[in-house]
Amino acid sequence: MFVRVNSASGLPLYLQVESQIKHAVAAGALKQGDALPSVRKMASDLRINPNTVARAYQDLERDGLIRTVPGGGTYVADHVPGLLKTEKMKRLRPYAMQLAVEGTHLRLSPDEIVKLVEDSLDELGVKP
Amino acid sequence: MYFWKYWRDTRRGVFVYLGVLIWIVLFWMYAIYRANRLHNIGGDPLILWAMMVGVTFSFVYMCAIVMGLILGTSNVGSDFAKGTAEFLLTRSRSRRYFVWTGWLTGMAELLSLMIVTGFIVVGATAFATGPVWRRVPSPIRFQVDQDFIDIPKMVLAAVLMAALVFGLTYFMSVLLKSRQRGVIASLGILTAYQAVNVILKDWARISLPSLDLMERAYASETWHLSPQVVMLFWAVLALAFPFAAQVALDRKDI
Amino acid sequence: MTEYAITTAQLAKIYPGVRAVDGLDLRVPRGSIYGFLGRNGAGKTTTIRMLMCLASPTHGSASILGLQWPADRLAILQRVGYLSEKKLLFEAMTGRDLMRFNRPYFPRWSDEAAKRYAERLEIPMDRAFRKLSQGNRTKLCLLLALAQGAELLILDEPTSGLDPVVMDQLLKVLIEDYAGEGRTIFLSSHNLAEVEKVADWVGIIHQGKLLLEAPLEEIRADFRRVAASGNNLPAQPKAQIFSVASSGSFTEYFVRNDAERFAAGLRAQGAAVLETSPLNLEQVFLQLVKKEEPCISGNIGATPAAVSSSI
Repeated sequence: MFVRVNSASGLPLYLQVESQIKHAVAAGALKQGDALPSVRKMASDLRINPNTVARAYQDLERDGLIRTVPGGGTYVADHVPGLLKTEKMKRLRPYAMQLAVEGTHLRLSPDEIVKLVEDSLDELGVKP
Repeated sequence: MYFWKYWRDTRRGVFVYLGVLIWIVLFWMYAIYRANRLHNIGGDPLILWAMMVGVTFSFVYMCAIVMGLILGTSNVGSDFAKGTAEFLLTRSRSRRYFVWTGWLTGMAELLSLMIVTGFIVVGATAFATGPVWRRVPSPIRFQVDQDFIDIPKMVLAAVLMAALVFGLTYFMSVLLKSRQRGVIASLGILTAYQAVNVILKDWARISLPSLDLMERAYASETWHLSPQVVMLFWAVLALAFPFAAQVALDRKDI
Repeated sequence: MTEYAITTAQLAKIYPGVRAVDGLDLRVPRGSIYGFLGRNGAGKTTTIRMLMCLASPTHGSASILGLQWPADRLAILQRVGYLSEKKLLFEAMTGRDLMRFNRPYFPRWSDEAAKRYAERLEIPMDRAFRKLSQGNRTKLCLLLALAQGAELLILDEPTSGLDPVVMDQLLKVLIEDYAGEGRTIFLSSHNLAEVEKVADWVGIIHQGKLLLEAPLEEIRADFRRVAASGNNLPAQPKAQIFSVASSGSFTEYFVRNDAERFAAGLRAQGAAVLETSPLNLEQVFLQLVKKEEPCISGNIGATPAAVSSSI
């Protein structure tokens, strides 16, 4: 399980951990039912505070992406989180806005910006 | 395990001392052996025994002073100089424990060394003279000419001497947080005391309690305290030193 | 079970002419990793030595693990593992000797734990202390503190003088074995990047006083740099502004909280707010402890980046 964090990047560490796990799940590197390292193990591997990892795991569990089994063990969830479509769209909107702002700033055309998104989906192996 | 640490710190000094002592004694025995070849060590067994006792106690007193000074520097004071006081004094024992354990271990080492010294020297000289003490009617307390020789008293004097030199050096080392400064201060105080004593004797005809408890100044015309009081005074002082070291350490910031 | 591993109340250590520690009120929550930061000579080591009962305070009080301080000194010393700034142990003793020496003082000492740490940290246990490198010395000192079974570790600049590999080893062992489960780590450090990764709480001491004590998350969430340009902008720190730097018509504000409202207030005054950006721990620290500097004029038309580099 290769998660790496960069403390100089300005993005909070727990968000980095969350996003890397989400990335791994989206790309299929982590499949449903796969085990995640314990909080302590991941924290010591990354040399960060266990509470940071715990928070990331909590957030992911709240979002339904992972689940903890009583008695230990954290696993990728067996089913897709049951969020309403509107909720999902609401979540993604800030990222879309950020992309739009940056793209406009760099004077890319709307088509070029959309192509970027399509290329990323391709990289992840998500078929249209 | 502090006494173990104390021993580890001092053992080299102890072995060096024993080595030097044995070397001197062997040389001494060789000299006696040569002398024996040329002259017969005959003569009055009482005088011989008195000489043996005198020589033995000289060695023992030397041991008390030299090793008292050396062993007295091995304590919490030397840990300050080495920078390990912070480690030592954050072990869960009172500071008093470290002062007294050090003092007791040091005194035990010192007295053991003095006893060993005594036996080695007596043994070495007896090698040449044979067991002279058997030929003397009262080997423990006797008189030769004008001198009264009282071996138990000499033993007590030696022990007090050791306790004083050791205790003073111990206290100074703890107070000044350093081995070198402790030894220098101790020597300085002992020398100054002797100097003051001599001056007072000459000018004011006063004898301060002497460090040499066998001194016959007690028979002289200077004002002096009685030998019993002197012994008591030294005994109290010898015990006061570790107390003083304890107080000094308790109050200090490390 | 008390909530705090360490609390101090107006703790002070005053020497003639120097107020080394000047009324310190620390609150170190149990189970946290608390980074105690400050410049050289700010009072970190003096504070730590007082907590470890090595030095007595001029006034003020403290409580460690709920125990009376310094009355319960021996109980405190049993339950607190200490790494001194000096990192010196008895020079003639080997690691094994030192374990043997240390054992009787701590009822919760574990030889097994000590052996495990020795392996994981790769410490040569049969070499005399004076022959060990700086890294190995620090590791050995830490081993003794860890194997003691302490509930609280007080570490005075544990990573100073260490190469990156050893630093990494230490952090790994500390986090893996120690953090959490109600055990607390209180460490002073100059290495802000590392503290930022590892700490829950941060306390910044400057000239003997506590300038800031907050959860690291709060600092990340609330502290902001606001770059603005305009006229008649506030020029001095006040209220939420803890530092100001200006150059020409550009001004940088470092605010503790409510950055959005502050920025809105500036806009209401007619200023243009160029950027609101988060701060990392090093930036917060530097802005809090730097000397007060008068406004630097000149550099008209300079970009905010140039402004910050001229500080």
